[in-house]
Amino acid sequence: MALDQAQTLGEDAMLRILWLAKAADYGIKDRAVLVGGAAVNLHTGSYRPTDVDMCAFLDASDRQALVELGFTNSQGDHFEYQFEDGELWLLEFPDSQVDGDVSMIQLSAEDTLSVIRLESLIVDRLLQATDGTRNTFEEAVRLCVAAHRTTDWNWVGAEIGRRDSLEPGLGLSDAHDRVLHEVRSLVDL
Amino acid sequence: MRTGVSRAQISLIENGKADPRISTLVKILACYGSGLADLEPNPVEVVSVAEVMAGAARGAQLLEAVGLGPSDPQARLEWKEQRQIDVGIERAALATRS
Repeated sequence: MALDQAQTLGEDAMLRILWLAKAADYGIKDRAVLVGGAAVNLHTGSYRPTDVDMCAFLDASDRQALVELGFTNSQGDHFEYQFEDGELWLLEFPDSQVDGDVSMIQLSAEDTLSVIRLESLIVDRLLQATDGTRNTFEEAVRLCVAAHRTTDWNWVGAEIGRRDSLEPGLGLSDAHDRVLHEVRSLVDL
Repeated sequence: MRTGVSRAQISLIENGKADPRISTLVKILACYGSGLADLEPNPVEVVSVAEVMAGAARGAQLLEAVGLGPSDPQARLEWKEQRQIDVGIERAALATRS
């Protein structure tokens, strides 16, 4: 059982998060996609997520299933899970559908977990960086630097262009340029 | 545009709560001037958890090599607070982890 796996993995936050997410995914019949900071951490290895964000549409039966698994439904689509070692993790479903493509992690022979694809995650972080704050800019730079060797930059550029043409006032191209300028000052792209 | 499929059914399909019959899919696609032949399979990359862990370790090394330390969760919580998001429970949860 995924939650039993997560219980034993207190020393390894990343694996614990993956199995916690898988447990929730089981509860809602394999429809969840891991996104947000926990997904960023899969590429940077040094991001400490404050919560676990997943995308899925939840109805009353899904919420009930999560409660039966051991999650506490604090409010709306927000859940909590307290491990036996005292760690408290928050699980949130901020959106019903993932904004982008998905890849899969093979957790074990029988278990897979859907996660937002790296390039879509970069676009998501660039969207956050359109707010112009130092925090979102630095987080986007960190992800791009950490994953610069494995990212399909042509795909990212094309997607930024596509979205910018749909919503030119958002400043996505500008955020993309600012972030990549900083990334290029640190690594070879 | 009318698909001949009820809104409730479309909502269930969109939210992954129901799988459409082929005949339903054909009706929906027809609304967009498409057919089944226009659907391209979108191969999903599958990676092992070991590959993910190795990738995360490589990412952390690259960040360290260019002088970018670990991200600061407190800074992120402050960013959320500036947006009027209640982060009380997140702070409490973070305090339970080493």
